[in-house]
Amino acid sequence: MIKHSLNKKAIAARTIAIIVAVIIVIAVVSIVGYYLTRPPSPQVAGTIKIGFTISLTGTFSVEGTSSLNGIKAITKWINDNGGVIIQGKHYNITFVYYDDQSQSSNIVPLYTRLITQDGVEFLLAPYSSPLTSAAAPLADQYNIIMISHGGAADSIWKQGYKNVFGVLTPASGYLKPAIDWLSVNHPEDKLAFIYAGDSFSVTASKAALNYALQKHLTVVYNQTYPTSATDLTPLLQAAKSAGADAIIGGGHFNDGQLIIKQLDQIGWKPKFICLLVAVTEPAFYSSLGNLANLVCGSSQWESSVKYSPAVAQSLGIEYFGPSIQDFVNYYKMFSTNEPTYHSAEAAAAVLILVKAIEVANSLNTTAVRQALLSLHIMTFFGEYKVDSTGIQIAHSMLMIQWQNGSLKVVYPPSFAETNVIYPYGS
Amino acid sequence: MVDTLLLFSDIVYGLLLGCIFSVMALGLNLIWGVIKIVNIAHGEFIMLGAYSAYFLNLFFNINPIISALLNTIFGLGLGLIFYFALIHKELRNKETITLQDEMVTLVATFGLSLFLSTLALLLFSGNSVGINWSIGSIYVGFLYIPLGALYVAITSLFIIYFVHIFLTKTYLGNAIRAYSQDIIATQLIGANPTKIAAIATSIGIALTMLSGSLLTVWIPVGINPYMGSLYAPISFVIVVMGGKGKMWGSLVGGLIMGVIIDTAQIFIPPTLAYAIAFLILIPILLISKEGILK
Repeated sequence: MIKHSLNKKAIAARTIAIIVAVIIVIAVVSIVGYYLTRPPSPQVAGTIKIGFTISLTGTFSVEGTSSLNGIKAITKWINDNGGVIIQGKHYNITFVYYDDQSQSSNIVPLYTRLITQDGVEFLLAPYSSPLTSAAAPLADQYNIIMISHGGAADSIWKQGYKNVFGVLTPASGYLKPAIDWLSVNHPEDKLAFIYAGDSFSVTASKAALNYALQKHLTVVYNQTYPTSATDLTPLLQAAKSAGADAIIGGGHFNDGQLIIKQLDQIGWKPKFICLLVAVTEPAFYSSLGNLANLVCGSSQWESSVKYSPAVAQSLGIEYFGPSIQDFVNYYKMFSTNEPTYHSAEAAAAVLILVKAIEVANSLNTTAVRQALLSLHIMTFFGEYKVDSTGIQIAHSMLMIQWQNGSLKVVYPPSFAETNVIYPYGS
Repeated sequence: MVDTLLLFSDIVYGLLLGCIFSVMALGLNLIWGVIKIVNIAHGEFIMLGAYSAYFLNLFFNINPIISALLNTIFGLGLGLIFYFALIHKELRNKETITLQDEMVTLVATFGLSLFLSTLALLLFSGNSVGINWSIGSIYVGFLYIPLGALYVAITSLFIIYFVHIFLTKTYLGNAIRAYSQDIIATQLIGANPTKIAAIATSIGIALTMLSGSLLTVWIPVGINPYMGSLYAPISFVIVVMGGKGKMWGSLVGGLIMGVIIDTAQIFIPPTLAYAIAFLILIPILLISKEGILK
């Protein structure tokens, strides 16, 4: 009886030993097999350091934060997908940045520090036209390439800088879709232009005003306000009194909100509102609620617009970088919000720079500059092509509208998800 | 040709806004008029009042008018700290306030102004915020008046009236007025000059913070650490225009400023409208150095 029990124990122990041995053999074979069959990982030869300032506080903090998350997302995507290839070697991207507090007085010292102390090899411009205008001279002074992702004022490219390149449609094209839509659908509407006094808003609104006159629309009011304005009721009252049906203009996030809140305060619902910049931010709707419904805005990009390798092929140009969905997935690693056009344009700036470095096959400023001047490609953000001054000439603008809590592309028809709902307040 | 209805509506809106300007200036006027101290940090106390209203609304859903009352209590406390920390040492046992005393307190309050705005920047960041307080509007004839702005204007007028009653009908008020004219006389009526100066200062700060709270109704996205840089000069102009130490002068000056700033924007850009409002001070001072009220 005892012997039988001992035999059973010995058999059980042997069985366990065999099972453990088999597991160990399988694990070892799997590990060895994985290492023998896995694709060779690129040997990282070094890093490329990109420097920039961004507005994480102050007037442009909402746009700046979106931009920074876009840069983080695309940098991770690039590094996860082999980095930048120069002469067959793979380089990862790293970046150094500072909060410029939306103050142009911080730009020169911070960019000088990036170039002279942090030793960055390429620059991204800050967010917004005034800050980009302050940073741009340093790109030429230190002969270093700067890609602008948030400075859209046409004036930036009229200074003769040779190292500053834009990825976004310049300010003069921002409000054209709104004027086009009005001229086709409501040419009888009288327009009021109310806009911030910074170079971007003035350029965008004046270009739209001239375009409206060319389209034989009636302009009954035209006024700027300071970027720090806190009370716009006198201007809104004046526009209302002038018989305006539509308000076009605005500036950035805070004044965009201010216009909508104070329209409500004075009890005026114009038939059509199209504002610069502010409208695309999710915070615009979350802070204004129902007042934001049916407000239109200008957008450089929306995730619903499908730029893809197939579209690029149909245009006879190369597609470079992640798909829109890949970008959105990476973006969500850094933010709980959906990416906005500020996120996308900042990411596109990094992508274009990477492509130019690869085309140049060098980090040399002259070679990369030549590549940036000759590139005509498509990314998830849309087309990139600049003229000899570095200003963007191929990218398309969109008109968007908040419709029951979601942001819809409503114009031009080739990209529109749905129609414009008119009038505002309906 | 100016649209008459537009002009009329801008005058009405200007008067409503001017009521808040009046309370704002009243706080400055009380300190300047009584203890002869020019509070350079006046704008920063307005900013603190606005932020206080913002956070009370954010966390407890308290509207700006109720916040104004709470700010009065905060302001009284802060005012006492302000007086004993910065002013008292310079004014202690003084029978008159000399130019040197004025300069010392001027520099001290300037330092406080820088400290408060920098602290606010660190604590709240430079992002502008605002209070969503929309309680509807009423039509008066052709004119659409936001109820929030109307209630705030009425509250402002009540506050100015109460301050007037306090200063003219109460023992403490009379003592404050006596101090403003002659410190020795204050002692003769049995009042302690230090207490009187401290109370006057804390009431001034309370009024200033209260006005910051009321102002939030007019600036739906304008609360930020730098907001004082706009409203402090407006307050100074109102006090000089209305006459230093003249409480009703603050009301008249405030209403004039509100109307000028709003109506000027019919004819000129907003930036110039503020410049014009400040420039109006020059002819007034040329005619009467004591302001428009005799």
